[in-house]
Amino acid sequence: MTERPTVVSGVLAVVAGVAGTVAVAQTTPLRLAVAVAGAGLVVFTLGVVAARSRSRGLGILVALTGLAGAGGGTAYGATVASEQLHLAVVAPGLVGTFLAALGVAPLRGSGSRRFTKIACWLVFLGPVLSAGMEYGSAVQVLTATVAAALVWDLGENSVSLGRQVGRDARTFWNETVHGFGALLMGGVAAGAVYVSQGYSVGSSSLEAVVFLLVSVVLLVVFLHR
Amino acid sequence: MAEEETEDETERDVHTTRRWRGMSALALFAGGAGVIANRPLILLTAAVWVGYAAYPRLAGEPTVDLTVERTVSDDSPGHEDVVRVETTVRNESGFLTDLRFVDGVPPTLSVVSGTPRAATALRPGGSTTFSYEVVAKRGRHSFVPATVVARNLSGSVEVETTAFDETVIECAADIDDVELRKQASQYTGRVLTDEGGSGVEFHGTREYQPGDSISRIDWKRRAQSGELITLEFREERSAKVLLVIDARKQAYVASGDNEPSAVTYSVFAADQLFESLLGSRDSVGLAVVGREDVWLPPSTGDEHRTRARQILTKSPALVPSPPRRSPDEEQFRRLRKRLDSDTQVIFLSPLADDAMVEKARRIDARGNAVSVVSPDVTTDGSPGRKLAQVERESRLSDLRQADIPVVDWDVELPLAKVLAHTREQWSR
Repeated sequence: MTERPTVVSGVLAVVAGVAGTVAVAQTTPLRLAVAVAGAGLVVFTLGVVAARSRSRGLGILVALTGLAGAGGGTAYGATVASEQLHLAVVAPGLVGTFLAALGVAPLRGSGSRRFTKIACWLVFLGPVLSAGMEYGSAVQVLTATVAAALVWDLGENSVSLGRQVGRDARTFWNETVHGFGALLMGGVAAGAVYVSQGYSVGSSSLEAVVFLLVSVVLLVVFLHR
Repeated sequence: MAEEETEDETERDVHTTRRWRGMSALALFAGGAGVIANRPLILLTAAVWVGYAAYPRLAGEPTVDLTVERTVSDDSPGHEDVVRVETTVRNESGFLTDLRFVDGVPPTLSVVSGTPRAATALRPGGSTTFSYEVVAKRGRHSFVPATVVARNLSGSVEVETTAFDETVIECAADIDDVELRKQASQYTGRVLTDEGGSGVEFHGTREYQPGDSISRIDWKRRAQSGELITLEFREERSAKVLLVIDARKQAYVASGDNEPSAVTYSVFAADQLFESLLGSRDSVGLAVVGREDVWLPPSTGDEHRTRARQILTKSPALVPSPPRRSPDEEQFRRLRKRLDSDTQVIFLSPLADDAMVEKARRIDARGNAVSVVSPDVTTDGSPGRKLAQVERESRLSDLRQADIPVVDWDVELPLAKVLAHTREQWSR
């Protein structure tokens, strides 16, 4: 049995990382550069998958092409970024997406949950920085947050399925239903936040913020009971 | 009535995966960062994470009720023939969002094409079919219960259970004849005794006594000397045999990480020996020492054969994973109590520790003739493995010194062939 992460969830985890990073890119040229770099990372993922199955030579070629694309996109982004801070917002996301790719398309072994977890945190740093510098809109920030959650959920599911049934098994419907559930959950949560943000953002007094924080802490404590 | 002690209920193992635990940390991080930076939008992202932290609570433990149907392209193939197996899993419960299924391929067969594993989502009444190919080996290979893992939509709760469909691949060249020791029952059969009587092998002569069968009178001698002499043949009786499988924690040794354990080979050997002995009209029983006590007293007949097969394929005592502990002292005491004085015992054990040697010797000393079939799964890789190999060889030699016949079974070879080679050890 090939205990490597499954392909559908694995690739979708990388795509989620790219989407989350593109969402917080400030300008259109930078968005394009991040999209090119992200596409390179998706190609890299597919290349590594192929290299560790039947077509080793072709896989290595595709993976290297993907890496070149990712490098090219990043270099292009560095030249088109009007401010260094714009780059700082997308950089963690790109690094995180690369880690997610290594987690679900490992060069050796059966994938890494740790990599996908770190990737989730790094992709989430994008919306935090974007909101912190007041660059991004609520839609951009919330979209990137849901994308970060999907990096973890899809990546972990890919590793877990790979270890239990292997990459060769038929897993499409399992992965699709699982991914749809996580996306729906994120969509509902982000939608609810978006609808209510008019009230909370509008009255952004310190009391309201502290009240929200206390609510979050209480909810987390409750969920851990 | 047979005291078969197996459970019909399928075991369920329910546990939480904790895969969403990190979401709370992200929620707290977002909350803290939002307050420190005084940016409500960051704080709002915490709500998304709280949503994900609550996600596992939305769906509880999935109910799993599956039926499995398996078809094989040829259930009595030749040695090394490729057999195609098609497995259909049907969902008899509610919507299963995440179902992972590992078919119960007989541990002694290897899959050469396709995979016996699948993962899918199944609506109520829905089914999925997958197929793979195995290479047949000599012997009788029963499919073991398939492993089923079902998760809820968030993947937070995992239910692990089994599903069973009796399927057997029987490849010719079973064991023709098991050489037994001389201990026999009172019934006519194939074990040659040292007592004279009506058999086929000449034993001696004695003076005619009224009541002796006319067919046993030595008529040639009567013609020559006029004496009435009765010919005596060695009596042949059937044997009462108990196969004891060592499935204690210590017996779950394997030659490598993905290799079948010695218990799997012992079960395989027990299946073949049982079939062969039953076919020779011997009375044969089955006992397992391990996770739980299993006892099927020696008997004959088709119903008895079915019971034994159920134990060998479905008993929780013989699952591929080792028990956490096994109350073997208590089990051996019960075993000794249950043994009739005319029953001989065949132990199936890798002899991975000294306990089995001691038990075999004690039972043999009590008067029940003991033989041992020992699957050899030791290898000579690391120093530790080499030591285990040396220790096992020393145990084999201890048993032989105690006049207990031992079949040292190299599991790479068919058992029938190994038994044929060591037949002389068995008939002493």
